[in-house]
Amino acid sequence: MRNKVATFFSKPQNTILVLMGLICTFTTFAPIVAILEDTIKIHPGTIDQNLTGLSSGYSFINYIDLFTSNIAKIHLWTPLLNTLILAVGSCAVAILYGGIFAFLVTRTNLSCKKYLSSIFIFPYIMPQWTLATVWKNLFDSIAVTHTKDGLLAGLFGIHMPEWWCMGLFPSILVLGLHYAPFAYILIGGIFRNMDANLEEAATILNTPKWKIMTHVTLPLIRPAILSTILLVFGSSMGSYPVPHFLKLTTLSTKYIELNSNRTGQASILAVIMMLLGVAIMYFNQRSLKSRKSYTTVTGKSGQTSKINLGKVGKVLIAVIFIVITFFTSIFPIISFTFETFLPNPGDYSFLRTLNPDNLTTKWWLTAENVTENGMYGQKGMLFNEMIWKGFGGTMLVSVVCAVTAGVLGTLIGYAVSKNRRSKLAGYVNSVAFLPYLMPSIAVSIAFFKLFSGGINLYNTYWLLIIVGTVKYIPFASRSSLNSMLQLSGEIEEAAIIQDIPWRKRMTRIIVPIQKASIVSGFLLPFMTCLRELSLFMLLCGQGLILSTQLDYFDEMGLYAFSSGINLILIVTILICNALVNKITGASLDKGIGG
Amino acid sequence: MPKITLTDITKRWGDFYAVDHLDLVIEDCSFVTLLGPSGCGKTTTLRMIAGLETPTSGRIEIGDTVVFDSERGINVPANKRHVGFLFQNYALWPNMTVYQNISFGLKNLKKYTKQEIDEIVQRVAKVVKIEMFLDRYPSELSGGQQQRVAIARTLAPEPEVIFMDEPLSNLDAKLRLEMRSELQRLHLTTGRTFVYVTHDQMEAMTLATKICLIENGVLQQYDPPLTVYEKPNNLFVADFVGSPSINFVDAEGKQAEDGTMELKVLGGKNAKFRFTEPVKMTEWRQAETRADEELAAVRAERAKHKDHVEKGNKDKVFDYPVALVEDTREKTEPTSENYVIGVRPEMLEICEEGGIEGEVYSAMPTGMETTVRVRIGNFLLTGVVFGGVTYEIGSKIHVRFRDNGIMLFSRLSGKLIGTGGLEV
Repeated sequence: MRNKVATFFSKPQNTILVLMGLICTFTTFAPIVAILEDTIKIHPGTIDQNLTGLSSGYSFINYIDLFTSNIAKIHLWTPLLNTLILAVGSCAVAILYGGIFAFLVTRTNLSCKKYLSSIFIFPYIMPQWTLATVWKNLFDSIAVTHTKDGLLAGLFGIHMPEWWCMGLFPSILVLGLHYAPFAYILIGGIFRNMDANLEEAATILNTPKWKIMTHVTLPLIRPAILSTILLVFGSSMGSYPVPHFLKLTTLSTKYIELNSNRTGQASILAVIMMLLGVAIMYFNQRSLKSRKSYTTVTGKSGQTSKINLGKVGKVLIAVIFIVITFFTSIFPIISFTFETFLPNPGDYSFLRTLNPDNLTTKWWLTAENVTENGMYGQKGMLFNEMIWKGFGGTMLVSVVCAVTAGVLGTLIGYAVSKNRRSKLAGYVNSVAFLPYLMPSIAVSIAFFKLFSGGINLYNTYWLLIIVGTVKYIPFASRSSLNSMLQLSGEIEEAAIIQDIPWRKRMTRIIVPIQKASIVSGFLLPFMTCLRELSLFMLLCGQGLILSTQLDYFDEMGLYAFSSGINLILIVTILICNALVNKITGASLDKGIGG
Repeated sequence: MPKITLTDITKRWGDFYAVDHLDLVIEDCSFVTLLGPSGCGKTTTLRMIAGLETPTSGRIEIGDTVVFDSERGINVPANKRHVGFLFQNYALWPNMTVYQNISFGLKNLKKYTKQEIDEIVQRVAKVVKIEMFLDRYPSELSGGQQQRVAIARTLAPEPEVIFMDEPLSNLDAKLRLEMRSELQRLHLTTGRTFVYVTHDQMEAMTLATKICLIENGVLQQYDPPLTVYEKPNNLFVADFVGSPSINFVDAEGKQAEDGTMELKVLGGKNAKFRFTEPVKMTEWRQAETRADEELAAVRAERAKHKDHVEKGNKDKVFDYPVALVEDTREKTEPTSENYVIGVRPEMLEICEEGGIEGEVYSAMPTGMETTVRVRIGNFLLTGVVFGGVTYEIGSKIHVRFRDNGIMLFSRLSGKLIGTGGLEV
């Protein structure tokens, strides 16, 4: 027995596996237990104390009240329904838009492919709320949404109807567009590697084009569609900023609303979100386990004949996509820049007069505290210590999260690939992936509950880093596992035979070979972390990082500041992406989803 | 049953000629293999006939129908050519069961009832012995079984021509041999025209009624297998066909009055080459020059055409390998007195006495035959001895050339001059 244990641990991958298993079990299940406990705990000063008359102890009153009372509809059922519609709708938009684009890029002779394909990824790189704010900047009007006048209302007096300006419709569209790059990368990957012979075989048998599409092509990209659903459903369900900006009540916005007075009931909403996340994973697993195996055999794909869109068609469709991607990818940057030079929110007089006097640099350059000019006592962005501190904080959290998540994820990928068939490896792999499927806001809530009691880490970078690491390990572990599986065991065994120690095997053999995928395992958490809001907003005050500051300034009505912070974030992300791409050759679009 | 005619077919990408002005007639009911090293254009040729690839120029007829003509702008799409195509990786649809895979094409024909389709599926499944797997998915079958399903799917709609693109290359050696003989039977029982792409010369030799050997997009020889083997058009064909490979020996000399060639071979040894059918070297050279001039004229004519593109992948005279113990071969400019002698391994007789003395360099017995490499000075010659003979490596041995199967090539152009006997 003792020998067995010794042999087991003599292999470094087993030690890693056990360690990671323990860590991941704790980081995944402890918060869940904490949040479950919270649902039945009596919170002094909230509704459950009112209803039960107790000041401590446990009760199911929160469940009873939330599900059965006369406010169940507004507190539970409507948000739940909205959340589901939002998640399903975003999946549909993402898959349709991204899938069609993937088809056009990989299987036709579309013009301007290179440009389009790089610009198409932008919405995912940019913060989630970017498109929501753009939507607001475009369509808001005092008359309909009772905020400020957007570009269309201000310039042309166009007032779009309310359903168009806020609520479900724009939320679905915005989240769908944000996650469409997922669909593009996953579906495009299959299209690119798909054996064209499969379709040619059908052509030879005189199959009509539409039938080839429905019976051969679509079934083949089904796994990619399923993974897209898996990723988009969970992420859009837990999104806070988009429904928040566009005034849609979902479980996540409802949670924030209920949190102070009905803490226990809010936790139940978080549990429901988690359950939805687990359910979607379960369905995905089940449909992938069917007898129809979908390993895409790569054939002589070099001979793929591309569909000819015709001389006019290939240009026309390219132009359509150039226009659409202009609005989703480039316009936000222009729009945010422009907003920071407007003298007052919604004052578009410059566009009408083209007089530079109608612009201002005060939002950037004011160097002292002033209360007039709508500055609310803030210094201009370039001189604002709070913003620069937030920027530093964001960078700190992102870098540390990226490094820890990257290292841990790579180790998990390595250890799992070495023990492919063991149960422990399977367990570690899925437990490490679980946080990814949990809605960000639910993870955030869970950690908030865990670390606000005995160990109080609220409003510290520590907490953000822990949560970020846990949430982003899947990025790194997926991308590293995928590439480690491609690496044959003999490569390391050749070194073992020559008695090269493990540390050296890793640093001299494995890591250099897997450089690209490891870098993308670091890159993804970094990028995502830079622009994360849903995950962090509950865990700290407003000043700690940029994304929460953005929310704060937006609430305050300092729209120039929120636009400016958006711009700073986008530019930072684009620069980092370009830098990493240049230096290492790895790029974001290679690692997403895995 | 149709005959397939290719006239002046060219396919190029930029200045890369995948297929260079190919003329080919595939007779009805024949089994033609397109043979050549990888990247020579054989798969492209097949895909062009099937309609999966569009030629740059030329004309293709299947039976009496012109399916492609660049000048008249005819291009019948693949699905209207009524051909069958067997892909290298089978291209079975993973989302359909074996039954669905086979019946899918039949449903498109719309001329069968459900019951008829069922009958056809059962029948072709029986032909290739997969009737017990009809409910399985492709991923649940072995490579050989998948291969059979692919064949059944191709056969089901009863195409008149069946194209096969290296269908056996994904199978293991034993199964490949078995499937090879089954394909031959299938050709016989179905009576269809088979066009078969392979890079494996053994497969081509054993299966084909005619081999079409292509290199760098250019047709090298189109003849029955044994002709290709015994009378290869040039050095490339001689080297490509045959296993173990042919021996090449450099030779230099002149034709004597009596028609024999007096040559110096294997490091200065005197040799006499006697043609089986007399060839006058002066006449042969004149004929060759005429042929070259005609070809040049055709090329010049083509070059005048407005769409002409210079061939980027230039044709070269084949750089034939000469087996040496130490590579001391120097590159010399060939003259009209330089020749190359080709000796098939079985033409090398290994004996105790007479001939040239050599030394056993290596010996590889398989039981049925033994491949022996003999060292003569710095040169190596490969021979095959039938039966389980063992040789001690390093022992002295004598070799002779058997009569009438030795080939003589011009080193200048690489072309075959004639066959005959060689005495050293």
